[in-house]
Amino acid sequence: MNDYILQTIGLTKKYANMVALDHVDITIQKGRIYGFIGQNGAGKTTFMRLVSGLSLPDSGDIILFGKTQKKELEKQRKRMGCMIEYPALYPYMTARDNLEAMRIAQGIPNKNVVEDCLKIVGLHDTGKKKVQNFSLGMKQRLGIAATLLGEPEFLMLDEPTNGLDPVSMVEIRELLKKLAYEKQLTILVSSHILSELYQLATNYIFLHHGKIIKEISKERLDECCKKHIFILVDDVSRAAMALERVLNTRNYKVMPDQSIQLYDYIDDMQKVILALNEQKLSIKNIGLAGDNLEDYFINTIGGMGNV
Amino acid sequence: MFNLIKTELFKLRRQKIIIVLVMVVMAISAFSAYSEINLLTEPGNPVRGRDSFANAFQDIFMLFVIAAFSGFYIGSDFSNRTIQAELSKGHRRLDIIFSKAFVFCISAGFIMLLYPVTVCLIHTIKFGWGDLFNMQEVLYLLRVSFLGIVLNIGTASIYVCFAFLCKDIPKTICVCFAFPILFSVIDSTIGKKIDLVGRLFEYSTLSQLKYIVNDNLSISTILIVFLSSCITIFISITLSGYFFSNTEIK
Repeated sequence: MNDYILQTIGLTKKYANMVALDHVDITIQKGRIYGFIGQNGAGKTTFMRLVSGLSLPDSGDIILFGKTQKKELEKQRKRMGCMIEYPALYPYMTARDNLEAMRIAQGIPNKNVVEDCLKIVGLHDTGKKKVQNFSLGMKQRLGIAATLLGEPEFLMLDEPTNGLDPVSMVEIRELLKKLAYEKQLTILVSSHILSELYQLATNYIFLHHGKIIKEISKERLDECCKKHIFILVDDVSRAAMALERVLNTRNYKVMPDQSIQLYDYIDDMQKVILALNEQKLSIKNIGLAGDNLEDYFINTIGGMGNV
Repeated sequence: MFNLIKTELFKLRRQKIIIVLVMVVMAISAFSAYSEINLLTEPGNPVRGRDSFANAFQDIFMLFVIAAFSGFYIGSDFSNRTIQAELSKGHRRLDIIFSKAFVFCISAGFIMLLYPVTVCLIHTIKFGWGDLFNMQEVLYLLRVSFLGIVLNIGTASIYVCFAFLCKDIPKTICVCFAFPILFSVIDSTIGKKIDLVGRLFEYSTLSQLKYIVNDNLSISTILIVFLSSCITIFISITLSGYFFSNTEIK
């Protein structure tokens, strides 16, 4: 069975003077949460708009649930929930009426789904308050509720935590994690709050100037970003021996560039220096290292100069 | 598409703009009916409910009301991006156009009927119908109203096309407001000079309104009314489809 929810091959979108997406190949696997990371104008929203049918690609293929023909894609989009840029709502209706209108449009026979979705996002007690009087956070939550109608298998959310207070942000994050876990929901979510995205996603896609520059799993990212003591010496093998014999640790890695990453003694670097000195090793560089997602992203796109 | 039509009807019931427009139409109709009384009661101009009904059908005032309606009804879907939500849920673009056009045109057809009916009602109450109000007159009223709705639906479809061309509230209202003015200007200038243009305008849904109020209608006139409306709807929906099918939805 095909475990891919979405696959794009050479997806390209050009606007008058610029290439918004440049031959983007992405594969979204079932049951995972993908964090879509990129600067403003990197092409995240354009990508989502193409997949959701709001824009038409200049070239390339979109394969959604294994289907790629235009008519088939339209059918498959019924299995998706999208919130792109900001929520699409009827401002003159209540939260309940908004979801009711969307329920009717989707032909969902069960009327209880409206109440269920409102409860999920904590908007079940908004009564007759019109959406035009909602705060941005409430609108965002209602937008998410709207995407959940019809039990979608794939959610595409563009900046879903925009305008949410810290508590709501945590709530939405936990909700998405729960949905992904319990319903095997696949999620593609973009956000500028990378710390938030770090806690939510299982995979990350870095987009820069319309190109995919990195796809990485959380495990691999953690490995790359793990806090460690960075050691550069003249003789790596003797340094490794020193770490094992003097400091009694094997929790280190020798990197391809002949540097060592030591994951123990983070708070006692002096002891490491003494151990290396004992072996008469010449220490070229030593220090604490380790990134968070933000640093990793900036390093990946080529440093602050490219931000 | 049936689900989309049901959604449009649900939306229409929740939109206060339709209530506001109906109230505005009633108020202006009443004002217009009373302000015409002095003029129409002059010697040689006897007021008759029947004549008021016929005259009010040719008034372009309702086109401005429908302009506002198209902006707030269809234009707002672009502004609120609810069309975006429908598209991303896999609805075909043509289905979206048809469902909106269907509900809008029929609603507009009935709203446009309110003006002649109200004016006629006030004048009839005040001065009488003008003839013996028998079954023949009832049939006349029903015939004119029905054909009026048919032509109004055709005219409303032009506004659907404008809404899908402009894709927001203010632009839609402005273009729709300009339409009847431009129509009248072109009809009375170019239409008079160039025979073909004049003929085209003559067969338009707006011009055909003046024929349906005649006492006797030939089959060919009724056919022209239906053809005029159908052709207008066909062209408008095709153009809407053209404007909407290959466009980027912001």
